[in-house]
Amino acid sequence: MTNSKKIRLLRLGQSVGVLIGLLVLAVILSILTPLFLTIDNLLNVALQSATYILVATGMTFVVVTGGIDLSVGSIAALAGVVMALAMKAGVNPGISVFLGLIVGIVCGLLNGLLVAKANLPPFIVTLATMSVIRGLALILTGGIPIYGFPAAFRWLGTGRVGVIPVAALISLLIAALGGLIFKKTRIGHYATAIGDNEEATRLCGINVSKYKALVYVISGLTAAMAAVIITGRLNTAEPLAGYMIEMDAVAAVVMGGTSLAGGKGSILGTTLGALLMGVMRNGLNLMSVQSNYQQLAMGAIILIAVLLDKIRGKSRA
Amino acid sequence: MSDYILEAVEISKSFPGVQALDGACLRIRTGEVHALLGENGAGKSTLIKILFGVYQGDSGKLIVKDREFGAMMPKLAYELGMAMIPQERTLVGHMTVGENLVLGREPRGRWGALDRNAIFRMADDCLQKYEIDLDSRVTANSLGAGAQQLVELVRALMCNARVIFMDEPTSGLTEGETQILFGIIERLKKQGVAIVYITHRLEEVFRLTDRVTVLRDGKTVANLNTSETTSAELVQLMAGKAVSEEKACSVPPGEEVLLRVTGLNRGSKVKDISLTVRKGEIVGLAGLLGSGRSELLKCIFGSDQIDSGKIEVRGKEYLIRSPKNAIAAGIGFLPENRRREGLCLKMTATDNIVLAIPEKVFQYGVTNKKRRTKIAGNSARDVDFSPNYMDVECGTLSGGNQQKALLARWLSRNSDVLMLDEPTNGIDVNTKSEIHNLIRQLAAKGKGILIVSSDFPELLGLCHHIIVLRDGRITMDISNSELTESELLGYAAGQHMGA
Repeated sequence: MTNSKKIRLLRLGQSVGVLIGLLVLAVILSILTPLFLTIDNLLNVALQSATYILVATGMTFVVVTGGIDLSVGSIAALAGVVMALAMKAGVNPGISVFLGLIVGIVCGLLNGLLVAKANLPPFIVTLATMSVIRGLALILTGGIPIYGFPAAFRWLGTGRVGVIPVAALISLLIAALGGLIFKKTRIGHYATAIGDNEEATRLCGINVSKYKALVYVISGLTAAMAAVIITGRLNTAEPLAGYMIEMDAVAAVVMGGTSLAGGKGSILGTTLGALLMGVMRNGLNLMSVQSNYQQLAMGAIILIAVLLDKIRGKSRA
Repeated sequence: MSDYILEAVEISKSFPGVQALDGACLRIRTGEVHALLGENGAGKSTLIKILFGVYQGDSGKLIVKDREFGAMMPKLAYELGMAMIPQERTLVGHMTVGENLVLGREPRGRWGALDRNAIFRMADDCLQKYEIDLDSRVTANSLGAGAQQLVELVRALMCNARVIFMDEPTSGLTEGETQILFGIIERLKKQGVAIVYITHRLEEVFRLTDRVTVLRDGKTVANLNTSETTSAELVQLMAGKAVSEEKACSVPPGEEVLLRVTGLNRGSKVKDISLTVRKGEIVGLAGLLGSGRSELLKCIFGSDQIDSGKIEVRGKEYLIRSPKNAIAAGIGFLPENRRREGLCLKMTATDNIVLAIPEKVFQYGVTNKKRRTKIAGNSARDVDFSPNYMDVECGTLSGGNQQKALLARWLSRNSDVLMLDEPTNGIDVNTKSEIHNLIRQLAAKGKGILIVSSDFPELLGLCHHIIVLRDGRITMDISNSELTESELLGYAAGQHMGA
């Protein structure tokens, strides 16, 4: 085998690992419960995974620069609340969704400017904005959920095209688009280069702070997209929506083979990682594991997945 | 008890696709200075990592102080009295010399509190014992490269090290510092400490060492007494074939001025610098460490901001505020530290090469593998970069190949002026002359080249013109043909001021 072929296989191997994990988990679940391998349930998994996929797609851009965005859950909540308030005020659902996405972009821009221009550590910046943005969502609603939206809006969260949930279609479409942007455009290439070696990237004449800021805008935007689906599905905008979703997103990104140190990543891996998260939650639900135990099990499975990946990585080095 | 304090016998180690070591042997006697030579990629680093337990060998055994080990562990190596002085400094910058020396083994006073006086007493005792003139109460950051290295050496000695590995210890040291280091090595030798000396500088091998081990392609190809060999023989052993003599640049430069710098100033490091680089001309920047050479290049490239001065490329003045401006003006830059400032180590050579040329790689905002491969492939061919390595992660390439990838980056942009900072630092003899030939070829094709090097023979062999810097100022600006190495060294050290 030629050298370059071998390398291509190794690189694919990162996504193959999570794919194998996904298949193994699926086989185990279909043995443990007859309910798992039914069309209805699989479609349900796709629906449930949609928000993970959306948030994790944006998160991949951030993580590959060596950053992290802890504020995605709060952004989703605020975007959902703004959409809801707009619709309650009689604004057309389409324009309301647009406003929600703008909220995501603005929040992301705030994160990006603080990280790229003020040169603050991403962890601290987004930890702080996580709290600030959640606070805004609570203030705007007085802490009370808003519910009851036009059918056209709810369709985004609950509707189906044929048998396939609209939300699942949207998330896969965005992941595919994200994958193309990641692989084919400047932002994906430069985000990876920055995560690999920021100084070298700067010395290539690349405007590093511009791209470092942009990745947070992307992350904010995908978080707001997730908000559309969450709000539409529940027919409710909750100021506490998206709580802890940053953890699920980071877990999906890492299980998908993206390095938390930056410089390496793939949207395909992330999507598979997000599906893995969805399947895990679904499986635990099907086996009627109590929610307190679910929390524990999810954490343990993520740890095992990352440990396995580390061992795999070591044996390769 | 055998003569040998440390023996590595028949060590083999393979990585996917590479046989890094193939039955290599290294035997170190008590109290000797032993040179470990080999080109980049010969297996030196792998062998050392196995000796220190960072990697486990596939086969072979290690014998330390008559005890046999199948594999080493980092902690065990430390307990056996093995120490490594790496090329990069590892001191805690904001701590004092004394605190650095006792780090991890601090003497405790009452109730477990740190006893600062005892720390400095311990440190001073040790500095005195080895006759090293250093103040234990200054911070490590305030010391020069040479002094920092001595602190690392003393730290190893305080841990009762009996075998000390030194990796390119004189790179980055001034001549004076080098002499001090050599004096200390001689003294340690008398006290029975064995030194394994890893270097590319053959004159140091003959100056300092008792025996030599040469590695090539993971095998030990020679184990000689230094006094019974010659530098030509060592070069041949390392390279596996005879290396042709370097010849001076033959193609004369053109008339057109590609780069003109006038009255450049930045703080205390760059003072009133004016210079020109013509088409096809190789201009060398000589000077000692800290003379402002690298800073000057960074100012011209816009990586550091200038206080005042004018930069013209091809007769047109450019306001250079960032690398982006400099690149647009037609300047390319190979920084001193390839790994830290030059390359994205996890990315492939192809992606690294095309990183500075987005307008060709991205059409309508999108790129594809084919286009990148084509652009990178063309310039890689110009620098003899092997096509087999195009899809290899740059972190795994040898220093020479990394440097070629960086050269290819600027060729793909067709930059008029190339600024090279220490282009052959840490690169083996064979590849070094290859890089030299590349630089000559680029000049012959009409590039203007500005090169910083601490290797004076390199500058004398390459350059049409040499500029000597001292304390940020130009002290000599002279055509190469009028220079000898000792004169150059003299100017750099400031002996010929006003000459």
